[in-house]
Amino acid sequence: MKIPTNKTLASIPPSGIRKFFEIVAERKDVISLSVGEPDFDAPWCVREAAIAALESGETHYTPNKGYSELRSEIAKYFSRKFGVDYSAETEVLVGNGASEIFDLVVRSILNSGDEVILFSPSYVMYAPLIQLAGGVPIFVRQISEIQKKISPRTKAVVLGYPSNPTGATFGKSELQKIAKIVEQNNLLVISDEIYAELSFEKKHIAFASLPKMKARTATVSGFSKAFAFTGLRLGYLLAPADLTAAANKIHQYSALCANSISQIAAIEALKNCDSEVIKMREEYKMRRDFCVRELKKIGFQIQKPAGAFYLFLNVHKKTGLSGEDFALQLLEKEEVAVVPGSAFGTEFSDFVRISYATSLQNLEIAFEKIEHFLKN
Amino acid sequence: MKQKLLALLKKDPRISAKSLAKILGSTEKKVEAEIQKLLKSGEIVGFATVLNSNGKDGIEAMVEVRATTQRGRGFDEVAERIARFPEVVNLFLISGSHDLNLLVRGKSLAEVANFVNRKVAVLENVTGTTTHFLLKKYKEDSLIFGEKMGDKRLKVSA
Repeated sequence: MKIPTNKTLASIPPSGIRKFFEIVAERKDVISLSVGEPDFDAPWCVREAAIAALESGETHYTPNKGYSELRSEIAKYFSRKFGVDYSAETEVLVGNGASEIFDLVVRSILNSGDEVILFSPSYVMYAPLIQLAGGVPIFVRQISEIQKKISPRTKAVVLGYPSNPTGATFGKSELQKIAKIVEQNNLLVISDEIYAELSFEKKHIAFASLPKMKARTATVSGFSKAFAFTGLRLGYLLAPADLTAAANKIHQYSALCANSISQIAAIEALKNCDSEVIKMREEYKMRRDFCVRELKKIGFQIQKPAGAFYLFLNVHKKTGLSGEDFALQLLEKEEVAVVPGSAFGTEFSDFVRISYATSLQNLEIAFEKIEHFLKN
Repeated sequence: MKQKLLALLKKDPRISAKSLAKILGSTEKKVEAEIQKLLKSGEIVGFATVLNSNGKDGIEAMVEVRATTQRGRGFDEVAERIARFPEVVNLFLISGSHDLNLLVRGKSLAEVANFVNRKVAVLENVTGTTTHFLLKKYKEDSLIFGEKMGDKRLKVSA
């Protein structure tokens, strides 16, 4: 018997990343530049705190919103780093990764047919989650296109910066432009700032730190990228109290609470890991500079991305290949894996995403192989 | 460039000048020159290889040395004398119950004991020694023995 699934779900195409994963997974000695997570393990002090938590039996439900100590540490952290103050009691919600948090936010605010504006390319989860929440994703390429795409049904704008897959980020003047538009049109902003700590040039500016924006912003973030914590699944929402309460209402039924051990590890991360975060950031920066130099050397045009650990590269201009053909042939001939840009939208079929979340040693070998690939 | 270069060499002393040049955005020649400069100035003392010598290659001991200071030179003279013995692998001046801490390496228990008694304990400014034979090493120079390398991540993820 064929199980009839939800119609909206059925209309969403399978993830392009997933498809490519299956091709790469079959091969053994691949150098992978297609991983969307840090190559570092979580700092030892964090893992040690998790072990201690298990030993002492912290294996029970936690408050729906998360342990109050963690919420208070998150509020302190955000204030210290980005200058925005949130109430740990009413404006912070801890969940199972930034993805769950994003899901909660769109489900909290959208009614069927509501439109959400988001940038293209952007992280692969935004559009499907908006659709599953009954919303309609409306894509723009630039800030200047936002105003034109606003309709009476527009509810929110999604930002994700520094960006996966491009590594680009927004500066102050760009954020101010967006702030002006959302204020004039009375829109909400869902700002995914999970890569905030991985900003290499200028200090990251939280969208909620702009004048009058805190009241209309849901900041989505988490521990995966800054603290190399991906498998521990821990994210958080910082938002006005009514939105936080609405998101928590779903969270308490669908997830109940985030993993207790991860929450305790996260408290340790926020209290004692600043130096580890800096160390990782410096390492990523060195790798980014290396990759950009190597790509330029072999004839690609690329600008230094300001953050995250990705390069979004137009390979068609130089090679005549589509991103997908480039990725498949590079994998076939040189055993180097990059993600085809089409995974981030059909209009990016000329691109590939290169992740430099791997050792310099691997990067050096990978770029020698890419150079060899281009020569043949 | 200097700080980054030192960090890279500390992490992997075998890294080639070619790789260093690529990573630092410099040339092999410049990198080589900088390394030579750092060696000359003594900022880089040398390049060591950490072996997993647990129980295979003779025996090691931590030796605590109590010593008297000399006017104007402190512990330097006695420390420098002890440091010249090839049996001494590490030598630190430390605070606390004793003064110098040595790691001594020898072929056998007897050889190490003899060395401590006949060469170190008899020195004029040495007032006493305590020898602790090493049983097992877990970590040396920030390297954990027997730690498995390898990438635990999925090969492709969003």
